[in-house]
Amino acid sequence: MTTATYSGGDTELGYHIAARTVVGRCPAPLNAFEVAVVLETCGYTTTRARALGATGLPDLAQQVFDLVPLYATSVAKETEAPLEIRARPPGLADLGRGFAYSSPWLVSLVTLLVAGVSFWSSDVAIATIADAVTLATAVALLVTGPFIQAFGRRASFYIGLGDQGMLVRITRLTLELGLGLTAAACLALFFLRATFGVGTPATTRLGLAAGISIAALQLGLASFYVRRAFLAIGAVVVGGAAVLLWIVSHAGPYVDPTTLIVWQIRLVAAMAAVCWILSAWWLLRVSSSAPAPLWRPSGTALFRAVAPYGLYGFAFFGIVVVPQVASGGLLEGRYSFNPAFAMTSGTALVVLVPLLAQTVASTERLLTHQFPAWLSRFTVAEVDSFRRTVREYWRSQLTVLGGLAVAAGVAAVVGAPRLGTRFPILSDLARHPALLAACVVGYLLLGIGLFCCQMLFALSAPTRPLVAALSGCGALVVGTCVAAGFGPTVSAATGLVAGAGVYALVALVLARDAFAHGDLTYYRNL
Amino acid sequence: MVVTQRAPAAPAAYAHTGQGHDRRQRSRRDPRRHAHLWRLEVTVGAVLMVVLTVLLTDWPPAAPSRTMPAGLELVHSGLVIADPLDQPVTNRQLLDSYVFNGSAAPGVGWIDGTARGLDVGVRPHRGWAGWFAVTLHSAGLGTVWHAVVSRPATSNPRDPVEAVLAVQSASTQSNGSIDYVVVSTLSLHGKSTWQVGSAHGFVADASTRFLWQEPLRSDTPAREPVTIRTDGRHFLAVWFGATQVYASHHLHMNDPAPFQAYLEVQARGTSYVSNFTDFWVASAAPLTVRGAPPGSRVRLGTAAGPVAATADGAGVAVLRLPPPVAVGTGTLVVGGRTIARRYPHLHYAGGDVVQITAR
Repeated sequence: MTTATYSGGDTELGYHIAARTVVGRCPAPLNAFEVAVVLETCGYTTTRARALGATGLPDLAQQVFDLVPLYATSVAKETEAPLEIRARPPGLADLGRGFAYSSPWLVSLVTLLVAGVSFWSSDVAIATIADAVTLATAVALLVTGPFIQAFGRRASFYIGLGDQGMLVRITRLTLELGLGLTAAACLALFFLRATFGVGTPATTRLGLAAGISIAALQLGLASFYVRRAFLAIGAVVVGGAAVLLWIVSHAGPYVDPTTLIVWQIRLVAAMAAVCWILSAWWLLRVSSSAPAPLWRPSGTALFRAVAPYGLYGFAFFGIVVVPQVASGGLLEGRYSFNPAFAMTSGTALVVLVPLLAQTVASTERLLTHQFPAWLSRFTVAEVDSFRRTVREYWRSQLTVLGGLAVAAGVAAVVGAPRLGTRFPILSDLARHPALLAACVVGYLLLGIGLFCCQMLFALSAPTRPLVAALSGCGALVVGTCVAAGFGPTVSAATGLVAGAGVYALVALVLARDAFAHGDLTYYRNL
Repeated sequence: MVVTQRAPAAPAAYAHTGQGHDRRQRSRRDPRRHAHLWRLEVTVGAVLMVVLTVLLTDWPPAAPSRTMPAGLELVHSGLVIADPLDQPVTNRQLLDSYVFNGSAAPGVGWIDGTARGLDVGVRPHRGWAGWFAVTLHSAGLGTVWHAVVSRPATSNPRDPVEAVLAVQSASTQSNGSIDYVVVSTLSLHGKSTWQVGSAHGFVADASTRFLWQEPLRSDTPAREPVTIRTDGRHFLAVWFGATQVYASHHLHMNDPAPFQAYLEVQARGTSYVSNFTDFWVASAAPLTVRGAPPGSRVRLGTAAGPVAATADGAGVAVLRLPPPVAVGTGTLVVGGRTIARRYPHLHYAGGDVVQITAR
């Protein structure tokens, strides 16, 4: 219990309740502006502000801001410590966190190189199995992409609000719905393959299982990323890899491809189950601090809020996945696993690791350090200085990204084929230098586009990344069709480069524009 | 002085929100209880997903399940792969157990599962080319490999053609080395022969050393039940039917176990087809019968004649099956001091452990 003096009636009590509510959401608001934002998110409108005796929401916010010190805790006061204005580049810790984002992929890559087997791919080219699993992977990535993006954006909001009910609801509407739709898509594919006699009975069933389990793992890991539970991700992924390596090492000199893929898929399903259970019982558990039942947004409102993110996710994964399917003969109305394209593009994909790390480091630094510092120091009158500072940060991060892209590209094109003598899985890489170079260029462009889009998301500007991704998809389709006459492999590579190129270019232009015209409304990103 | 409550305040103070109807008036479940139920749902759903995955990934067994006669229970199966190849099956079904491949160009090699057996063929082509069905599953040392291999009886090719059963080291998959033992029937100018050999190579064009062969004759049988046993190093034995045509313990081969079977055709220029039926791979170990009366005589009728043994003090009888009949159907007779118990239609295999549950 806290005591406070007041000289009014219910109106004054309303201000105190509002102040308590604000501190519950935002322990240390910087100014009345931010208080107004928090009040709005809690359902305070102009009408309601007037009902409390204020002239409007800004007036209510000012009065509530004056009451905040009564309810702010010592911890909150610590957060008011001066922050640096100068843009500082991300440190090693930030980059390490960025690399941690790719840990499932990196672990998978290491096991593939060392043991020739990964979570759902292996160095065994049985055409029927490869067709089923790669097609299922493509469907799983494409369908889950929108839901992962939407969940990532909205769940962190409700975690911040401490609203368990809404967190459950958003999980149902994104991750669970995504899993359901992926299962439906895979089931449709299953019946399609069965009807047209494509694939074998067992591999058709295997494809269904692979699609569901891969999607479940992708979706199951989403809350780990939202909560930044990198150690937990590492434990799950390394544990899975250890089991996989144990299976392979105990299989003897001949690894039965059917036994292997069956255990791979079952392992992925088990990892996914662990992720979902950990998410439900641990990562998505918040202790609700809401003083009253919060405004519960309608499904339509939620959809409007997450639609741009979801569409972006769909378009982005489209650029990643469609070339894989096109390489199997999509334009010829068929699909058969293309080992050369899969191996080459899979190798080239590695260039995304440093770019992704830099992207994560830059955006994290921007949101957790730079913005709070800038917004607490710059006033509206200093908007030009603010813009200069923001632009400086943008340019410096883009320069670092460019350097990393060049280094990663050269290392992949020159170094990867030489590893073929050491790692049997890469032995054919030297036979496809042009394809490797094209894929490397494609993924570098994709990485640059991704960087720009994530920076735009950090500015809460989801429409621009969506425009970039949709433009990329359009270019991908055009590029793939134009080069169709040269065969599936060339067509897929052309589509990848064209799609990723346009995506990167549009994202770069839009991000540059956004950073050049920044203003203090960036408070909403905090 | 007034006391201001820090705990959550009641929502009743807000009559309306100014944004249309007041959604907060709608009943809302207790979030804590709701979340707990949701967690249980997720947990149950996750377990169900794993179960569903296990069911969906259940691969067809390499050997069909066998029904034991009443009074017998199969404790351990020695049958590794079994495919009678006597029913029409689509290539889709076959591809769950075999991989089709070969040196023939796409469209030249073909495979057809018919009621007469598995046809492996090549269409007219240029040069020497082959096509095969290789088992997805492998088997290790101590196994017997069997198939009835046939070539067209009426074929009279001008160029050499072959029907081939090969037992090849499965390490081809990982290191590209092609090491195998082979039994084939070669035909040329209306004459044919059966050959036994050992081959070595890398990726393609393995060179074969023939260990045994018949002279080219016009009356060479077009069909032979071929049984092979090898350790991949020094030992190789081959039977045609019940007759052993070749055996040696002094070879120098480099075919590391485990092995896969290749059902294959090879031809120069012309179209040709080889046919395979009754394909099986089983353990070379004896058939063990448990639960027989101590000292009783246990006898199994096989295609090559009865195989018998006496149960020891623990009631265990060990029946040593000749490799050509390591898999088959017969009547097991367990003779006690006074009466004999018969178990007809026993589908047996070498390495089986059978328990007598009712005497």
